[in-house]
Amino acid sequence: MAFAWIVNEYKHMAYTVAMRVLRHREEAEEVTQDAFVKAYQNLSGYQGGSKFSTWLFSITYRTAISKLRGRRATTSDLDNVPETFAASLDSSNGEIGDRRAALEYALAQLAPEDASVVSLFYLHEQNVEEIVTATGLSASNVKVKLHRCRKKLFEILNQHLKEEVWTLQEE
Amino acid sequence: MNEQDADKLLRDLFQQAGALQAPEGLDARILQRLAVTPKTALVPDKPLLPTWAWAAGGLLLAVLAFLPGGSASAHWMDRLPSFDWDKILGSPWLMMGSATCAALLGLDAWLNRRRLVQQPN
Repeated sequence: MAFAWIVNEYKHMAYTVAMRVLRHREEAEEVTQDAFVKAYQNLSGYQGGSKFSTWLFSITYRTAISKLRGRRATTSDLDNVPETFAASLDSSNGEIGDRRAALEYALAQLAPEDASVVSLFYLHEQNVEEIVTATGLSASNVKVKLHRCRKKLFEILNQHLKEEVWTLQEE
Repeated sequence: MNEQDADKLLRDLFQQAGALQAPEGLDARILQRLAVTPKTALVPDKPLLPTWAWAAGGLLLAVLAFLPGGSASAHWMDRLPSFDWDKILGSPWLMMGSATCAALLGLDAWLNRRRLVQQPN
């Protein structure tokens, strides 16, 4: 089954997109499953106008946003619902683990939509046009979000990442 | 540190951290759901007027447009209505009506095409 290859290839990426929006493991897994099912059902609708990954991220992002809005509509106290990334990434040791934990902590300080945009840009290497396609935001909105988030992330990381680990990036 | 340097550092950091790991067995659960999911193709709705109706209507209009003008002739074809092109082209109501029809048909065709390529939500 060719689609099994697609699932295997993109499951981590799709899960990451869902997790950035929802910050809740069970919900992110549910959304990832839903996104792959939707992609499978609508495969004939993919016309190659964008990269397949962009198309899949778009489905995942929009499914996750719908889930998030549904949660917001039914939950009065949002702070009780999402798990924070920082709490779930405390077991890693060493420099890579420190950096990952610091990055996740910094991302958790951003709004879910902003964390998704930043993640699409830096991790999934989607350009602004592709992020526009995936999220439905305007190009200027994406650029403003990237600019603000870059600044905020950098400030948070500077505060929380050990200097020697952060400077390793510069080598 | 300028914005480009910050951009590069963040990119490197994201790349080193990598994607989050999907839960164990997620792909199996997805494939299990796909096994019982029918693959649906996008099927466009039938148009309000089928193609043959547009062609027949166009043909009828063309015939009427080029019929000779009626007078006190005994021939049955001369008693059929015919278009007075000077009046038609000189009437803003008819011209604007035609332009509106064309615009609405174009909009309908564009929306239909857009719906077909729209990604699922």
